Amino acid sequence: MAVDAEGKSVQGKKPVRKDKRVVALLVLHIVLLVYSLTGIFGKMAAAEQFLSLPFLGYYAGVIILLGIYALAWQQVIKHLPLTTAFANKAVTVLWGMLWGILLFGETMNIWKIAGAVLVVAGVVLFVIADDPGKTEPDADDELVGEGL
Amino acid sequence: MIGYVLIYLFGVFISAVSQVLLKKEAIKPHESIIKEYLNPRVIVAYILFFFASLLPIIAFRVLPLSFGPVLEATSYIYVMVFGAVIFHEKITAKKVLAIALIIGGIVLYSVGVSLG
Repeated sequence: MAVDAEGKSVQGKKPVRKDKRVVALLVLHIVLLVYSLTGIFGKMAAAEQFLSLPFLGYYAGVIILLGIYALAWQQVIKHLPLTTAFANKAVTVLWGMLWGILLFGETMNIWKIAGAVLVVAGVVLFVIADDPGKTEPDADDELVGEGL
Repeated sequence: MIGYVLIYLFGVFISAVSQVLLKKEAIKPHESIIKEYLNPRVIVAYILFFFASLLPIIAFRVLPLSFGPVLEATSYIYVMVFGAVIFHEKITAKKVLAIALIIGGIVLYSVGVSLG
């Protein structure tokens, strides 16, 4: 009987939530990869005549991917602060350059590369600036508790 | 080119507004998963999202694909401003510097695009 009571008090301990955060970040990046694909369909649609059949086909691709992205994003941001979620979006700069070069014959020059580096650096700084106090795993739960 | 850049930037702004609407609803408790999606704020957010999705396609007639995500980085300006006004987050010097870097990067990228 006494063992049972002790067992219960051990069970009552708060579980570590770091794993959840890692999973949320991983899911976020899959979602962002899907998001980067919408650019490919958008660029394809742009090459077609407005409202022509191929245009509508590519635009449907944009909408479907954007729909998947939006529904998944809405779930992901429940587990991450909005700023963290937005900050990780910087990776789409790299995806955009990759798809542009591979699929649309776009070229890079020193200005573009320097510009992209500055943009990504700016985004990373934005995250660091937003970071203090986020070391506690429950920081975002407290935010929710405030009923914003 | 500048006109097409502005069209893209307007799309980013509209998207940011819809994200705020989604976040405001996401942090509220809901009775069911259906009610998380079928409520006025979320529906308006998705209508804005749909409208915003057309603007990059118009812009991509002229702009390269790789320019898109770079221009989308302007969303951080709205994150900072909406974060401060609606979610009571602090605007710090570091955040302002970060935004300055992003804008500087966009200017450099624009030069790169105009050079070909």
